[in-house]
Amino acid sequence: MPNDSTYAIQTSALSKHYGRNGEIKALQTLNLEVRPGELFGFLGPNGAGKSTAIRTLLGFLHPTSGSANVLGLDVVRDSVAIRRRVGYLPSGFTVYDYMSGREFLDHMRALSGRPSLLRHRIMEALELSESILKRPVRDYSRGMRQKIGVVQAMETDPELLILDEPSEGLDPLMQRSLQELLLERVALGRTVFFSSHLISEVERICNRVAIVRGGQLVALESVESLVRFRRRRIEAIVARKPLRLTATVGISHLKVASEGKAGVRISCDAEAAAIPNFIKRLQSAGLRDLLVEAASLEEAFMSYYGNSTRNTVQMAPEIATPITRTRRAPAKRAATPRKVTMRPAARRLAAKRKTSR
Amino acid sequence: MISLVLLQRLVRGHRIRLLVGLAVVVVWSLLFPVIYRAFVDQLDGRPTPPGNFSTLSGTISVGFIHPISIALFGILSAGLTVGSISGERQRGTLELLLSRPIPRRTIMATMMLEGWIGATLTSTAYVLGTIIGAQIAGVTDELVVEQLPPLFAAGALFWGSFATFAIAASGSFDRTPPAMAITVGLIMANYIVEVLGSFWDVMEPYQFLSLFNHFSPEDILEKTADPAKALIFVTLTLLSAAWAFYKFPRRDLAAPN
Repeated sequence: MPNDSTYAIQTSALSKHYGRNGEIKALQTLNLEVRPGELFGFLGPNGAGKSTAIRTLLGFLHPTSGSANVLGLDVVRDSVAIRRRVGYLPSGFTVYDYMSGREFLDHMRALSGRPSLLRHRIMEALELSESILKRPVRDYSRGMRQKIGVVQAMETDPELLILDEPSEGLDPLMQRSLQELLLERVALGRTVFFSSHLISEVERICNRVAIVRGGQLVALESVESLVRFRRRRIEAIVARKPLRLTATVGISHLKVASEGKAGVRISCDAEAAAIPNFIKRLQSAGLRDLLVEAASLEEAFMSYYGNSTRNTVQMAPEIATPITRTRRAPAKRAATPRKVTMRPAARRLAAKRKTSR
Repeated sequence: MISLVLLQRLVRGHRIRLLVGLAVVVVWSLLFPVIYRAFVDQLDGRPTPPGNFSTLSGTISVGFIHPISIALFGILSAGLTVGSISGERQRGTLELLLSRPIPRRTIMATMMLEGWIGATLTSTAYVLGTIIGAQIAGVTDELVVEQLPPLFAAGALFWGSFATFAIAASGSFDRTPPAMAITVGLIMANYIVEVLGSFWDVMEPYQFLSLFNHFSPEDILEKTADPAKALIFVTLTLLSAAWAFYKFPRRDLAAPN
């Protein structure tokens, strides 16, 4: 029976334990809310509980405790009704080898009981031709199979797409095409929930991201917010050594090195709030060049894992409670530049830094 | 309750096995009336010694429970279902199937039906081969034609019950080998008890424990079979189906390894 259709996906203290005594805690009290029309990224290392969560949402696994609704329907009671409205691409997608691509797609579509609305559009975007579809699936490369998987998940234009590692096996060009397809669907009001190990992909297209570890949610934020609260990397060249730089609050990993006639090279990590004051101090020391790199989602991701001990996950204060923030327009997000300032000398500095690594 | 789309795909996936297997069953079964005729011809009017080959019914019966027949019938009935769910699970295609709006019980029922189709076709092929063999050997007049439908039904029920057991095993495991081991073990254990009981006095009192002991094509053809024995196979079928329909929908299907 329909429950709360405000959310495309809503989990409440969802837990899944395995083993005779439930000693393997694959998922622990997961609280997640995905709004309709959202492109939601689900990140976590192997064994974090991503697939367990997805499989529970689709009714392949039964929750140990807690509850979950998909499109306002209970995942236990209304599993069949949910699957009627959801497109799913499993991780490590496999096919029936004795079929051709076309036969496979026709079979999957017939099982879904819905008409194929987008097959040609997706085939075009993923460069899948009719002649390829006539060939037996066993002759397909890994990437081709993955494309077939994307088509079977999306072709009926489902309200909700659940994709487990959709970019697996796709080359960068096809990954970009897939991302555009997903953005296109979201623009038309569909919801996309996908897990990925490609942080750059999630960062590029997702509105919000959830990070899980050890079956627990450690972050649920908009990508922007997640990145905003993380540190920035600052590289600067100043004419002379500034005074009392170490006393600046929010600055860490400070390194000061003389560059001879070029001046003094300063590098450090800075919290967003500390940057204006820090730059003022640099200016007072004769700022010649400056590079401020925004933290990537990867750094944010690593930060969460880096800060956590074996069984305890330390959550940043701003994300300790799952807060939902204003959603960005995906296309705009994709075009947002990462680098705040970049001058020619700074580029050389960055290149030098990379070389020295 | 049944997904025709799924059934079509299952049969298509097994079509080579079915076609080749059924052709072999026809050829195999037509041999027995021919063997019977050759045996009678060799006797050349002398008194017929006791044994299965002394009558056409007995000879046909030997063909039905010969080890080669058991292997053939097993492959074409229980063999179709034993890897259906666990095989899909192992390949990773089960989650694709389950991602469609099809209840697990419908998947189970459809796969079970495929096993019964296999058992029915195999039994049909055997009866068909027997008729062809009787024609070739010129012993049609000795064939109790009106008993062929009961023989067909008994054969289909016997192997259909094993197919149901196999799908119940398949739905209970993540991999095919354990399901296969349990199914083959059940068939072999029953067969061994039957064979040992037929020539070893010590085992004879336990022969009734074998399912093969309650399936006698010779008795059916000679109209001496007890129809109540069919209940044994109906019971095995119902128990297996009940387990399959209870267990599979409740199982957690974790990601394939």
